[in-house]
Amino acid sequence: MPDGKERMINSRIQEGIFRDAREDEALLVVRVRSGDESAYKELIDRHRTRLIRTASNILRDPIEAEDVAQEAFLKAYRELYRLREDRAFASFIYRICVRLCVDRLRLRRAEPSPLEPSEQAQSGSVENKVLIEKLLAQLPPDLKTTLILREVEQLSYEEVAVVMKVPVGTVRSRLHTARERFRTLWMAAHDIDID
Amino acid sequence: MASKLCSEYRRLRLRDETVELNGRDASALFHHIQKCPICSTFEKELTESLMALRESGDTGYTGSSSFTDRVIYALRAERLSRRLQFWQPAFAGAAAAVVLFFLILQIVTARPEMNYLNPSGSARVSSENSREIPIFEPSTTQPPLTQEG
Repeated sequence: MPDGKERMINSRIQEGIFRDAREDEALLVVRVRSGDESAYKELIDRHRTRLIRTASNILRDPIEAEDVAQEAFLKAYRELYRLREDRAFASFIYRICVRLCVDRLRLRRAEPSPLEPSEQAQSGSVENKVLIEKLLAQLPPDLKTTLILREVEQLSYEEVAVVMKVPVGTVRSRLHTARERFRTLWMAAHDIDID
Repeated sequence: MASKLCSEYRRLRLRDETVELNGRDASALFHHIQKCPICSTFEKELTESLMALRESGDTGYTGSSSFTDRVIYALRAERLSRRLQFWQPAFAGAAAAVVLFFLILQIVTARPEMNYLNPSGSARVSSENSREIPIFEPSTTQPPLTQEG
């Protein structure tokens, strides 16, 4: 178990690495601005995993998630002139990706699919995932995205607010509604009486 | 029947505001949850549902191996199409100018009144009216001088 001093040193090292990574990223952005394609390739390699994972969590479809991530990288390249601080590329591309996901969710037809009796309360992770997907599909896009960003992606309220371009108060109220609805759906799927 | 404290607990819990409570309020709320069957059931259900959501989240899918290359190709295609779009008005303008030039040429040759070489208006210059313009003027040959007398 590391003591306080060791922990402090570790955190300083991590902080330094993090700062170096951001500076490095700023240099890459500068190179991209000057037309260096290999620099953008490096940026894609750095961020693709996170973007695809997030898009996959929100959309619940890996193929569509990959499409959205690709679209996000193209859009980020087109709108690179909007990026004021070169070090902030990570949050810039993340925001673009989440917004594209929300747009896709809005385009999808909202069709609450009633759960089959055989699907209810199944055990096992695969069945559980299918059930969760069906439950999430019944939430409106904004509620669903907010819930996933907070619960699955573990973003802070402030981060969710920045990504979703809404005030923190709105994030709180959306989460309140989303969690309550999700709990109700979850209980209904498990045939439990909801008070 | 849910009390006012129950609904207050739900509100705080759903908005993640329980962590912001001071020590006294937090312990009061904790004791309430322990005693109240409605709130303890709610807490259990909420925790269970959110846990299932979190577990379902990480799919482990990181995209196909050709992802980066596909993005780069798409980027190149996009840049090319943008470049073409940039030059498109110039190409269209040049094509229009060529068409216009040939059109004017056609009109001028078909309508002789527009032809400044033949303003009289007859399309064909009759051979009678035409005057042969000799390229070389015939040399005025003077009669040979005769030595008379």
